[in-house]
Amino acid sequence: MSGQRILVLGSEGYVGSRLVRRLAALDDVSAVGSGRSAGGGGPGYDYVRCDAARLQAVEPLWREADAVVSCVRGSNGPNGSIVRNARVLAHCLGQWPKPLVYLSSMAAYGDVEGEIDEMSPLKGDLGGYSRAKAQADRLLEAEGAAVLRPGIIYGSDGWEWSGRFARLLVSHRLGDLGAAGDGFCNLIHVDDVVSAVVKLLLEAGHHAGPYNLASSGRMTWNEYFVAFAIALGAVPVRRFGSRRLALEFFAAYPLKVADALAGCFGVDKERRLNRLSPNLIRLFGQRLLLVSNRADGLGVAWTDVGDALAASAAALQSGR
Amino acid sequence: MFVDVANLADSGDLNADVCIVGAGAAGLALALEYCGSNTSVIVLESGQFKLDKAAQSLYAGHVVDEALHSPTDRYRQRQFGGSTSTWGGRCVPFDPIDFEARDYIPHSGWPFGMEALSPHYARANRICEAGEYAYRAADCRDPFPEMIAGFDAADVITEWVERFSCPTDFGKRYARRLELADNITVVLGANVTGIMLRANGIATDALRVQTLEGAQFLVRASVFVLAAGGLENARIMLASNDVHEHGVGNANDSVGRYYMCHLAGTMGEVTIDSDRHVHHGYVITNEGIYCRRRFSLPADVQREHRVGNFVARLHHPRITDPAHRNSILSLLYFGRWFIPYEYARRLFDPAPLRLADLSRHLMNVLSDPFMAVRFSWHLARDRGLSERKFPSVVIPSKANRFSLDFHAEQVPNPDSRVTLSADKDRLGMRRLSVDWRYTDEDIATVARSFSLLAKNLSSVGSLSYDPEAVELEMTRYGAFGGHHIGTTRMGSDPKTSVVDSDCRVHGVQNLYVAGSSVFPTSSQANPTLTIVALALRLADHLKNRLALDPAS
Ligand SMILES: Cc1cc2nc3c(=O)[nH]c(=O)nc-3n(C[C@H](O)[C@H](O)[C@H](O)COP(=O)(O)OP(=O)(O)OC[C@H]3O[C@@H](n4cnc5c(N)ncnc54)[C@H](O)[C@@H]3O)c2cc1C
Repeated sequence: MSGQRILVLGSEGYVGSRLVRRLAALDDVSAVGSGRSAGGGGPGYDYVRCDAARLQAVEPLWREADAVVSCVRGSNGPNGSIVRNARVLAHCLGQWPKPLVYLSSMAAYGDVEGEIDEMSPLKGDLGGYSRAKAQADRLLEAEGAAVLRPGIIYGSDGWEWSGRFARLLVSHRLGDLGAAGDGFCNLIHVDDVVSAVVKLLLEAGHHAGPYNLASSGRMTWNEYFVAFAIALGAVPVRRFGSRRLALEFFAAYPLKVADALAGCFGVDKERRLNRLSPNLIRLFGQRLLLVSNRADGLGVAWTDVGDALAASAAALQSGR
Repeated sequence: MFVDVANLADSGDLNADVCIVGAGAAGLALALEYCGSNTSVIVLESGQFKLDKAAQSLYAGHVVDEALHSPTDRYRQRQFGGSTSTWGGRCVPFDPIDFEARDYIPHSGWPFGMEALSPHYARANRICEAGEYAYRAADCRDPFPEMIAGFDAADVITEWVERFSCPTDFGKRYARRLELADNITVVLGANVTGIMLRANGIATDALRVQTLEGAQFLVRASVFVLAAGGLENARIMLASNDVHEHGVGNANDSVGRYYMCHLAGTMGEVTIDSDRHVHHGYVITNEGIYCRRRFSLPADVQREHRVGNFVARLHHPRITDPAHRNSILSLLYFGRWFIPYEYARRLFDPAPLRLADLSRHLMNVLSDPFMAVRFSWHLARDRGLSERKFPSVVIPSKANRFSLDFHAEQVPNPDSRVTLSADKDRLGMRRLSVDWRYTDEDIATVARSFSLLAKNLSSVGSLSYDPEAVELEMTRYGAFGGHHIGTTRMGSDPKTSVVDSDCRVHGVQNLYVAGSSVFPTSSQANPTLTIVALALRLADHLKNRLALDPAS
């Protein structure tokens, strides 16, 4: 597959930006990034401004590319940009078939527990995001896309699942949650997500269908928090019970308002008061074990969680 | 999943691959091993999620010497989670010497060595929520403060620690995992009242289950595991005499014998040189686990001096004696009526209450009210409101003066035993009668260990105690409550033991026992960590057995 032109939609996001840089560094690949903002490019790859939810914007880029990856985040709802982006991609796939890797989420499975492999139905019953992802996945799987459903994407400079938790751990607002943190955390390192996409596009040959992505096995949220807190030096790790979580649960709404206000005043998200939303608290207890046998077959050497947490902690501590 | 026994009773008998009796530390650790597997498991639990008086009263029984042993419905909880709903959470593994046959400990020796349990201890530690499996001080925290600065003795060491669980109530902590497991059915309110052997007497056909409401049904399974607690396992076996007159597994009259608790008490006065720093309290590991050093006797010292396993901690003076002149201890003395029976026992002296003592305690409190208030705040914050509770009362001593709180191995003694009394509970099952006894060897273990401590502590201070009072102090509060050991002991010889090295009842193909009742010897260690480790080992055995012979 020499000289492939690979289009990365959503190349400004957490995964997309790393993916486009990785692709750009490869011989025989010409990477093209795209996003909604102006001037989002980087060294070694072209950047095109484009709204991935609009057919007119995507179509010309699609036709020029040999393969496409969508890392677009988007908004929820039946007509939100997640679903519209999926419709655009499904349309393009139908018209001009080519390899498409679509980055979805385990949220598509919805409120389920137990061992979940790719054959499990997409219930999408965990709110708007979950519904939208399930809808998008169904559309794209039917058209022959490779759909990746990663668990929790973590890594040094990830805010949502690393930086934010680091802050909560350091301020001792998070720790061992007992039964409430007994859910499986289904971690997948951001570099591993990127590697899986690259393998799918370039090495494994394009294989359609869903791929779950998680490499932390049966590790629970409690174990993740304890290990991360120790790596951060946020010790001794505290144990929280249901009383404390109930407090967080009720504080979540006022904190959400405060967060929005702080946002309006331009306060950095890293500096704002964190909250443990009810959805997050629910997630910590969800015993959903993402089974990634198909992805294991891709031959990616998954990053060791302990090593990754040490690296994240070192990066966070040095203020990077 | 959990089911209501009321609905089950109508639907007739139940079937499963594995049937576990009891949802305490042993039963739940075992059941958790099957979550999400293809093996169908039924857990029969007598109690409910919360303690129910009627269920608890099924534990009531007779005690031969009430000064020596607590009532049989104390120090045991008949509810989902079992006695872990009230345990103290102290976790300690057995030592390698505990598994050895020692010529100075009669009936000692396990059919396997420490290496058979070692692989399971680490996970047992996690299940108990006592953090990583590290019991050497240096492995828990670096640096781990010395107990007594510069103490380096030949016969007594302080490098081993005890760790503490939250203490985790297994019922609350793990209910959801079981709830989510389709292959596991937990039946609450299900009292096993009999083991029904096949006519040939060598295999279990079913268990008889009764409810307090009067319903009755049978449970059939390929294998059955009794995990009803250290006393109740024996009771169920003795009470099941339809086929074997003397009960199941009791052809050689071993069931109920060799009953051990630990030897425990507080004795002596330790004074450490004033220029030496003493740290007798807790250290918190990075994971947030409370740990504490204790004095212990290395294996070769035990062998040389022919003593059972023994540990001791620097402790505060006896609370009931106002001579300690400590406001905190006197405050605890007054607080004893609000403390659960199991934890208040040492706050009530057998001697009658004297007004003079009461007023001296009051004076103690008034002498340093600030200290008492500070302590109350610490108690409320670090114990009452904390999820991971500060494990026990630690009183600093400016004078470096302490007592010694000891916990020692009791030797197996066939005459220390539980039997069935003539009384029956409301389900028609004969109640237990407990005749706990101690021997001269037990007194010798404590006496010799104290003399070793006295000799070794002389390099950093002194230990004074009355050697004549050892027996009195060792039995002042009777047998150590909550540790019920040995009543269905493990061994290779069916003549002197009840279960084999796989915990299978000798002579019964498909009946197993889990819990401290199978321990042939008691160690110095509190039992629960080893109960859990053994349950995990049993789970492995049963998985292999069912895999090799699915039809068994
Ligand atoms: C106050 C106290 C403090 C303790 N502190 C410590 C400590 O610090 N460290 C330590 O290691 N250990 C401690 N223990 C001991 C610890 O609680 C026990 O070792 C442990 O709970 C035993 O587990 P088990 O599963 O064998 O029995 P249990 O926990 O007693 O569980 C037995 C279960 O079987 C059920 N059951 C009984 N009979 C029947 C029947 N006929 N049918 C159906 N179900 C039945 C009961 O309801 C119960 O749920 C303490 C105990 C007490 C009481």
